[in-house]
Amino acid sequence: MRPVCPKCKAELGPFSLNTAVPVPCPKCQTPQTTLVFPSLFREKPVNPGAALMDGESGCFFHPGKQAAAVCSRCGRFLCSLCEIEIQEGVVCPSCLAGKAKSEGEAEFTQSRTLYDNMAMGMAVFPMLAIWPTLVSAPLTWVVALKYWKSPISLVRRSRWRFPVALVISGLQMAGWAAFFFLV
Amino acid sequence: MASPKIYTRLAGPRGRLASYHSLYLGPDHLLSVISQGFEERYRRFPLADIQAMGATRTQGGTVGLAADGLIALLFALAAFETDGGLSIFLWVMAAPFALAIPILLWLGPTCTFYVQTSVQRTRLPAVKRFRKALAVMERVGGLVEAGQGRLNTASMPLEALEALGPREAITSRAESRQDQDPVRSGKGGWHLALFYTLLADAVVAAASFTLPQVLWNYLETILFLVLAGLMVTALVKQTKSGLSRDVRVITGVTGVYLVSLFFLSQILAFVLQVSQPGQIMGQAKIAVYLAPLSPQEMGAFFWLYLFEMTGSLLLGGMGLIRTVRSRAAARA
Repeated sequence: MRPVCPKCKAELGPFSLNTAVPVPCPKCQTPQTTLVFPSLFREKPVNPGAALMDGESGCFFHPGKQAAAVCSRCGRFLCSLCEIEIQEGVVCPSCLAGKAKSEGEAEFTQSRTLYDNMAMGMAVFPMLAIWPTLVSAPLTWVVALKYWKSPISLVRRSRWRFPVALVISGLQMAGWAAFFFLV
Repeated sequence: MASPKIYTRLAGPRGRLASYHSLYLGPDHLLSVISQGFEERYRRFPLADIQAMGATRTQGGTVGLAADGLIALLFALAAFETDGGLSIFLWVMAAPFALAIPILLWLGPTCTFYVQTSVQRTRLPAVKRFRKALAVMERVGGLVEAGQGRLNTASMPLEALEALGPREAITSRAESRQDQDPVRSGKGGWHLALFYTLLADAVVAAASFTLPQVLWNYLETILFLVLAGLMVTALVKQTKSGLSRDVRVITGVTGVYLVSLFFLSQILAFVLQVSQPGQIMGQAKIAVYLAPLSPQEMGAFFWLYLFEMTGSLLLGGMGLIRTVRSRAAARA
């Protein structure tokens, strides 16, 4: 895939790449900077796995294929089709699936529900109309306490929204209790 | 309570229509975070697989700065024209826009930033400013080169670059269709409609200015709504279109002109309503109030009419000529 100008999609020649200062695109003249790296020119090896010969170890998932690696988690023999390289080494597809399922593995998480944001939103937004807090305040406590230990955002590290949401909704409930008690 | 830190923030969060975008640097990959409602979605770009990174300047920053400056100026002018509590209120309204000008100047021009791997070329909206994009490219580029090695311009294999051939990975079907017909997504029909309507607006504004009929004022309001719709459609259609740069610039300027016209008329209407409390309330009553007045009696509205007539005439005429030429060139 050849680098192109993001604006006009014109293909960029070597004189427009890896320049120290922004240079105009040869077609639309818009200043642009593009860095290319050696992997652009790397040919991707297509090796479906060699056929198994007598006396050789076969792949666990493809018995007819020659083993090329060993899974670092379960120790199964793997052909070149099944070996998956991750940060900790080579793993097989089933170990990868198991790893991805476990919530603690940030490396494979595709999305996360932000329960701390949800609790905070439930505590704050209903205050605009006052009356909904009668329902939302107890619900905030349910959400905050139920998901207190659930994984939060991958990139944020603090859970301060949970206690703050609890305090705000606690005050709301206290206010309602006082209101009903006094009126 | 806190989990170990894995990611370092590179850019963002940047708000878009219904989401926030951020870019983080992980131990061996870039992480693009898209926050939508109470959910975060993640996209990873392994440093070992990054083939290219690029940034191209866009005009969004300049347009934003001009619009911000114009709004500040309009509020300041209105504040000069009034006195008392209203003047203070208008100064308070002008202040945030005025303060934003040096900040926007410091942030610099905007850009489109993308990362390319062997299977995808992805735009990352988290990196919005060109200066920030250069900083991100320098930081991430260093890490990518540490793993892949350095590729000097002098030693760049020209033959290998040519061998990559025409770009093969097209991110969407819409883009693929656009390659075959560069003016497909913006043939200029909406632009023609916009500029014709602008000319009509100039005529109606002139009629409203000279003939004491409330009908012209109503017609002007309807035309403005039509113009707003056409403006948005033309801006959407001209994205990635083959229309000439002149047409796109005139369309952008028309957008700024319409926004300023809207704000100016709103401010003047507000001042008029405040100066005559209880008598003139709402758009219809303002139209009725203005219709029988002579230009001398109109005050600040005189200048508003003059601005509208000349602006609509100039932009409509210029835009029409350029669009017709651009369409003819595309057909040729």
